[in-house]
Amino acid sequence: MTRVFQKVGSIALDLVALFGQVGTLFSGVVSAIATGKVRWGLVGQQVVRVGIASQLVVVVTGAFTGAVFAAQAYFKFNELGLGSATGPVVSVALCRELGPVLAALMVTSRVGSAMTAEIGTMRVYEQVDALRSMGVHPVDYLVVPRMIAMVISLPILVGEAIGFGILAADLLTVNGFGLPQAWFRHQVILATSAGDLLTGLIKGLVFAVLIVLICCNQGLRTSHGAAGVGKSTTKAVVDTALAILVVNLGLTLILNQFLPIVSLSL
Amino acid sequence: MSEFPANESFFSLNDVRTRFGSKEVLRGVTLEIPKSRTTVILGGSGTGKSVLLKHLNGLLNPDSGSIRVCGQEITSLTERQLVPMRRKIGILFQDGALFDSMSVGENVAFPLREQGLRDRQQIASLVADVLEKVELPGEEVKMPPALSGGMRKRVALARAIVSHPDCLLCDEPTAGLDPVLSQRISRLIRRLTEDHDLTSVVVSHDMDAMRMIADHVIFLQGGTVHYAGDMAGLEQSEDEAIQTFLSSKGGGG
Repeated sequence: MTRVFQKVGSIALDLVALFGQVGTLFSGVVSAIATGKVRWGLVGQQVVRVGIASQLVVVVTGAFTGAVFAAQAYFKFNELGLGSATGPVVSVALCRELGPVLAALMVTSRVGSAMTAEIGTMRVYEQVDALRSMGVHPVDYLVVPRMIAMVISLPILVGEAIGFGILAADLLTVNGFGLPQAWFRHQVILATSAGDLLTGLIKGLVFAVLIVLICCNQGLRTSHGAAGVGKSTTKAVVDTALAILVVNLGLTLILNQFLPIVSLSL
Repeated sequence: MSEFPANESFFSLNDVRTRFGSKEVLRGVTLEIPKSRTTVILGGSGTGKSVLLKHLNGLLNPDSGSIRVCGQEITSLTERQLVPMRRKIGILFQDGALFDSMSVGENVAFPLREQGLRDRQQIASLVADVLEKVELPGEEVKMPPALSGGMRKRVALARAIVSHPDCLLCDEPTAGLDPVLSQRISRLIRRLTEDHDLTSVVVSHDMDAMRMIADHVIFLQGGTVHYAGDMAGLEQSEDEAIQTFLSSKGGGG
């Protein structure tokens, strides 16, 4: 029993420490941006790494999620004579939940892990100390460009995941299940509000900040050589994925107060 | 040359204590490191040599004690407040700590660009000049992974001195090199120190190489200063710990 309490206590302490570290890093990033310490050349490089290089993985994730969700929804709704509800349900779910969450999780595994591994390796091989010794603040040089690039890129990637998800659902339900295309599209447009899309984009923005803060923080705290880099990378991906899922619930509850789902009229 | 107030010592440490977890690495280190001379910090493995070196430019902060750099207390300064002091101190890390994504030329130019120099021709000229000094002329376009251990150290040395610092800190500059390369690096440090009137602090356990460059020697044992003086005094000492170190030539730091 004591061990259980020790374990719970240890997890609680780790969480408090993580909040403290991430909060400190966030204030450092905000302070650097506010005082104009932004290296725009590095931001450009990071936009290429984060945004452009993630296109394929996010588009494929969005498209297949949209298609699979449309298929499952159609199978059930059609039994009830509600096949035409497939489009609106898929569209709203992609905009509000699946698009932002899945895009963020894919970007975490592709880009967040690389951030931790790269910064962690720099830390282990004293390159972060080398930066500091030359009067360069590691937050300004390593974190700020990644943060700006991610905040620009992730909402766009979320938009793409949503768009390709709906397109794939459209193609499958129209060509595979024989729903009239005009009807499908009419229902999607009718049921999807700007608030749905805005919810997805706001979530993308918040997840972008979470990914960079957690992954960079973990990278900057890496030690113990190559094994340490491996452990840090795993921990960063797991912590970020859990944070995205937990924060997503909070965002859903809060955003629904301001941007509620419009009533479906089928 | 120096922007710091006149002072006999470049670094003054008083009762510096640092603990990592349950291990106290520095146990009340008190020492003076004179200006314009080469001070060598010797000691066996795990005696806190590299940790001590990283305290000198604020890369590590002690748990207690005072560290003065040219009279200025640095232990209470924030990371951003340390920047002006750090730009006056070049540091050669044990493995070079070169940025692998940048070429040799970009690595060496990095401190110049960070200090606001924008003229490409001037930067290229300064980089070529300093690479010549470390006996690597025309190597600007090579990438660090393509360099040998000795070349990496010399590129790192070039990066450490390119912005004309007042002080050069070297962490195990000869570690992992054969005796011929060790002597070459040591001669280079000696020559650069004299040519640029630098205050140098070199952490090492390589006695042969350090004999060539040391003006002043500090011997660390168990996280405290066990000896401070000249090399001849160290070698003539009958202290047991020093004799054990000299006969074994210690370990890595």
